[in-house]
Amino acid sequence: MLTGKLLRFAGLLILCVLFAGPSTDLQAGDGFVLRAGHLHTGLRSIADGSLVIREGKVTHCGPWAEIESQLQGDLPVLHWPDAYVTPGMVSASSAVVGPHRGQDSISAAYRAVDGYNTYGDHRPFLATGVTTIHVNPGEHRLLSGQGAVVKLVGQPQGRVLSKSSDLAISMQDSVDNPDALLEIPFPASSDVQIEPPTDQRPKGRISRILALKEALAKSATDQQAHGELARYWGEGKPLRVSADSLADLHGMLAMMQDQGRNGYFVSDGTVAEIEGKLAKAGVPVVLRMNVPQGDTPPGGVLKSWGFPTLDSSPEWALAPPGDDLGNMSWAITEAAAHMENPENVISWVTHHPAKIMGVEDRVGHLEPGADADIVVWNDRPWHLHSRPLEVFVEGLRAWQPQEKTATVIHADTIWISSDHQIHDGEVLIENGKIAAVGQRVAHPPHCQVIYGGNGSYLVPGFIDCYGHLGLQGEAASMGTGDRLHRLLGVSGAAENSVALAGVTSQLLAPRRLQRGAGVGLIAKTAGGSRASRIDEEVSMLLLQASSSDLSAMNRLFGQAQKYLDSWNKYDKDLEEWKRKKAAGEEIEKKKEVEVEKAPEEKLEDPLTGIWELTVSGGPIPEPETATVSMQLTGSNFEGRVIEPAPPMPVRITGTLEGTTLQGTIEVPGDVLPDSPKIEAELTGEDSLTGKISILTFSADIQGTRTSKEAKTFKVTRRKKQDDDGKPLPPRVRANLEPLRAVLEKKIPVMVNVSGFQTLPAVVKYFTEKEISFSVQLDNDMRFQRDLLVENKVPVVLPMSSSFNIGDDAYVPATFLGRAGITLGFMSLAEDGARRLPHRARQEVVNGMAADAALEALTHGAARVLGAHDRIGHIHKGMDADLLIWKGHPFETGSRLERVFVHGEEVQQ
Amino acid sequence: MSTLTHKMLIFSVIFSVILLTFGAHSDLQGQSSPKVALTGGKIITVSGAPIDGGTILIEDGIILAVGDGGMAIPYDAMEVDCTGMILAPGFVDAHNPGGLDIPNENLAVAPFVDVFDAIAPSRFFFEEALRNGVTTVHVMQGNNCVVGGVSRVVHPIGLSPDEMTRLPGLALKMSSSPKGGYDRLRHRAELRGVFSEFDRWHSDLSETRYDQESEKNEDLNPLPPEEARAEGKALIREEDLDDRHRHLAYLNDGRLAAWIHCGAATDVAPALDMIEKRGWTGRAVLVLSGDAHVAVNEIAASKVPVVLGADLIHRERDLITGDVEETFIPEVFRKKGVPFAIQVGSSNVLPERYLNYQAARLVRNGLSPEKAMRTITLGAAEICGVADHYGSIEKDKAANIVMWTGDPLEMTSWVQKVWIEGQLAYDREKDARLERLFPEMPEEDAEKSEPLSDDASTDAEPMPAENGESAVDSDAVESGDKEADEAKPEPLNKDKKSQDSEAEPAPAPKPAPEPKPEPAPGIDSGIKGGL
Repeated sequence: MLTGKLLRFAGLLILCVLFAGPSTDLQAGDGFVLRAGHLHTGLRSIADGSLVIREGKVTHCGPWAEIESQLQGDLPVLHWPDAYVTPGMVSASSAVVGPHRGQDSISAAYRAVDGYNTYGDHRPFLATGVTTIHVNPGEHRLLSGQGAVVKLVGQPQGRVLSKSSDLAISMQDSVDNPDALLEIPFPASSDVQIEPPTDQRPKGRISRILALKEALAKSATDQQAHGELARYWGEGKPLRVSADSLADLHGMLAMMQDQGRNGYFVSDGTVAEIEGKLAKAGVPVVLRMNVPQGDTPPGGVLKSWGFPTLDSSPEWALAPPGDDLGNMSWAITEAAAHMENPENVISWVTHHPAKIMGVEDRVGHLEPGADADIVVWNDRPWHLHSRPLEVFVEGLRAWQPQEKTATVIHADTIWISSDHQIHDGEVLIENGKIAAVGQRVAHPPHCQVIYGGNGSYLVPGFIDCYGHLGLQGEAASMGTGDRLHRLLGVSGAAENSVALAGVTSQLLAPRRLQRGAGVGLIAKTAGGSRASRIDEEVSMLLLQASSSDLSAMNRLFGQAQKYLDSWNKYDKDLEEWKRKKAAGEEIEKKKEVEVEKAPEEKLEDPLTGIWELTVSGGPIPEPETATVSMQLTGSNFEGRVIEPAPPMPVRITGTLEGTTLQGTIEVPGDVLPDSPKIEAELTGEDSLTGKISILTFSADIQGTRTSKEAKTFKVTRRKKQDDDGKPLPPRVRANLEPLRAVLEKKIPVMVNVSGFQTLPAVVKYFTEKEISFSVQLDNDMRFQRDLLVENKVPVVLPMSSSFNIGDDAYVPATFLGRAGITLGFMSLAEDGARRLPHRARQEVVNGMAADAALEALTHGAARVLGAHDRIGHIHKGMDADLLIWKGHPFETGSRLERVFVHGEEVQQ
Repeated sequence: MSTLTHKMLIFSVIFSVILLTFGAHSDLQGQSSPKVALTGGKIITVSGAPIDGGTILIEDGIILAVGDGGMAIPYDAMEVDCTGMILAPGFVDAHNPGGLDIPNENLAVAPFVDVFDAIAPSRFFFEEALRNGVTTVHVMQGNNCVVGGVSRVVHPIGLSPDEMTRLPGLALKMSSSPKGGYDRLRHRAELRGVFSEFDRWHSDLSETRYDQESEKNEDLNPLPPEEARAEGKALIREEDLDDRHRHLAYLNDGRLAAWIHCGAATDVAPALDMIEKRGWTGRAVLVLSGDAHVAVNEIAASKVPVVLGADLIHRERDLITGDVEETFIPEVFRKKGVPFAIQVGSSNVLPERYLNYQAARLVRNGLSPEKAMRTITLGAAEICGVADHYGSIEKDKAANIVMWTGDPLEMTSWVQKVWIEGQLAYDREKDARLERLFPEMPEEDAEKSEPLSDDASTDAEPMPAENGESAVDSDAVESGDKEADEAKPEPLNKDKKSQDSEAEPAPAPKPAPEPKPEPAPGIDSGIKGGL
């Protein structure tokens, strides 16, 4: 749990560092440049458009190419390559305020702006992309009062754009039969008669317009009447007429024309029937979209909710069903579906409503001079699942989702395998893994939707089966005890060049194997930390076999088997001990294991005595010599450094297996960051040669024995039991750990085979041991092709592309591929690994199927490396290492457009 | 002095039954002579530095002089030894509807009402105010109104609202936050409606008055309506005002202050707008509650003082993150330099109903004890506009003085005596209600650290009347006793002096003594309610 949080935090930090743009915190007064894949200003649509924002206003607006040339360079650029940017939406109707609780049927006194909480926290509304709303005193009275236009966020004093934008007239059925008005008598005394309540109109549809006209007539003589209606009517405010029936629409239109009033209608689909008439009268409409299967109006019939084509409607605006801002996206989607070009719908929720409500000088568009109210959408806004990624109001970040972990990539073709592709499909990426693949996948809220575009071809990231990216000239031979991951860090320029070529993973292997064995490690070519680039420290055991005599390999596996046995025994003993302890049985305590005291009689002790050791090479400028006393007991040895006399006792312990010496130099305290390790081979009766290593440094060591009498020192034996009889684990031996993992079938083996007769022996050896293995080919292998096919041995193809030494029939890639052999490509290079796709292309030239080449770079390689459970496929649960190509990767004219490693795009 | 106390005790016994209903305070009125000298106590003047062992000389309810121990005491002054005690000005409760029998909050628009009609002198509220050191209460109706009634400043003693009243007609209460059952649209529409209707009535009246005057007076020429209205404003007489508009007219011409309740930050701007547009600047106060403190910048710019709600801490949950943020409201205003007073709560279970507890909360949250003390005395008096009479111990101010057993902001201190306008208005020793709550017990039992147990032996020992006398009279508050006092558990109703008397017995509840029959000379009954 905690780790997850930490990881996310770490990821966030890295993101901040890498893409300083979008994460920069904007302070008041700061300007910035916003660049986006699509920009709709409310008036026009611009591909790769950008905005310059200073002091909360838009100062420039246009295509990026145009804006870029004018930039002074003092502004941060926020780049959203996949986002769709629109002005903050303007909802021409909302339920944030009202309906008022006053009693009057006709009164101009109620002002919606009174009910708007200027200090209120309306941020949750911003998640709908709406930044400006019309607030309404209600539609429950014939004349409910005055509407207003306000922003949802901002300085309290500045939120109100229009205190009084309109007079709200309603022709809805709910206005009929209002309660009578009761005047409270004053003074409260028996002298004062209590008047009966005053009746209010309208009583029904027939008297609505009449009541309105009556009220106007009355207000002409009595200034105070109807909430000072005369005053507000006289100001010439537009009328906002809410009407859903044709009769009312006609009636009100006639009255407005009579009185010479301007205004607009708020209506549902019914209004389409008098569209032409309204256009002629110049009366715009706020179209309130009805939801399907809405409530049946009282006494009415369920209306159809379909709309005619909306393209021709002039400058109309949209209002969400039920005035619920949460339904705004539905209204947009539905309206867009009835338009020839869905993009037109943006104006319906930005510029048109702003214009209708008289606030178009500030909001509703992003042309120079407008308020910088901006919504950055994760997808085209007329898609049902689209949501804002950021909302800016007056140039300040006002809202952003709490977490943005998901990405959806949409591509024309998703290449799953040679016989399975999804056309017009999507891949959902969450937390760096592929979470879903399909025609239409889930869109978690606020996920970034990335469109591959026309001809896009989504394939898994390519895998290099053998390379040295990150070794950076490190040429020392490395054995099974070395750990390459220590060389890795944050990916740099070299890694970036490889990643951008499409190679997202590589088996990192040493340049030279020590005594024919070493380990490899699968590393990502991009990532912000070592931890993010690797999954495990050892991914694979690498072996070299150059003759059919596999005795060295045998010896190695022999040691490994013993080592494994000691662990198995320990596990068993521990299990037994636990069982006994739990059962309360007596635990028998063994005496300290007495290891043989004396050297074996018949054999001469090969090690005991005084050794002169010379250390040279590596980081050591001049050879150094030391005198060491060694004592061999059984297969364990222990020694002390005598000359030069160390300031503290330096102990050397280790084992002698055959002629192989492995040990650790134990230096007390924290003098050294790590314990140096010795690996040596007894090369003669009194000599040894090997290497001494610490961390990633290593030096060669040579030694000669000068005396067979060891200097005596106190030998401490390792106990095999703890004080309470708990068995102690065997000593961990780094060099045998990879082999143990192989024997436990946790990691596979890759064998570099050379020599004519070697392959059959290798195949036999590993097949018998049931160890999963693959082979690197050399030229001789063409004679063994049937063996490979017969045993289905996975093959890593060599760097040289052809084998045409008199054997034209055998081009390994083609031949083996067609025979159903799992293939992989390797680069044997550092940043030269970026030529790996080219290498595969050569094989396509040689006749390999394009899909087979793609398979070899992805599934095949993953299988060879034993990592097919996490890389090389576009499947749920796999690492999101993906490439967006234009066209099939191995077709002429195709190009790689974008690279994602762990779901994060690799930047140029 | 001892004779006086003795007499008083005899009175107590004789008239106790009849006068029980008048509460604890009335029995003590009139026991002081016109001249009183309070000597030996530590005086917290609030307006200046505290004086140790100082003397306050009171004549006719007014502080004649405040000085140190060396000040000469007139021969005819009754001297009260306050050694070991703390003398502080009585607290000023800046806004409290607690003294009202029925708050006038049913009618939304009721500028014609006056709290005078609803003040109930017998309410427990006033008794309790006295017991806790409050000597001045601004009685104002609550926040649940559009335009409420007129408030007044009263003393918590007196038998009628007239007797209690010190300043009638201080301010008109209004609210810019919705009344119960209203929303903001309806509320503000009505609030605007009140003043737009008043303006019309007022200008019509002005015109009529000008026309009337011009008919009588030949110097005045008939004028067109606009000019007649402007000229006629000055001609409006008291008798021209009708009941409905009278208080609004007073508000209009500056005789009443405007106290406006804002229950949320969004209601502050409309209130300030109204204050500015209607010319109430300088006599307006905002009564805040809810999150209104968020609008502190606007309030600070307008220089309008505020009265804060009793719940001094505001908690708000962030809608996005869900984090709860806590704000200590007085700190917000202190930082911006806005003068503020604090209200007490109305709950009977929370200590927020004590002004000194509220002030102690200020100290706990960072205010200095001096400033906290000032907030509930002089500061509150300034906001109410009565600082020239109340809120501090200064020459020429009303002698509203409270004798505390310790620091008034300590919860373990209590009020021992209260003088209002120089008269002893409260004495804890004679507090009948406390005696009923905590019957005294013999000293031996008290020493057994069972101060509140109702021991059977209490009845065994009769209490001689002289005991009370010796308790008050012993003058034995010696500094040496202090440690002994602290170590000893003591009955709550006993003051420190009584610790010294031997064998303080506790009889059954002592009936409240009788007040002096004649009306208190210090109370100016000439001041009547209404204007």
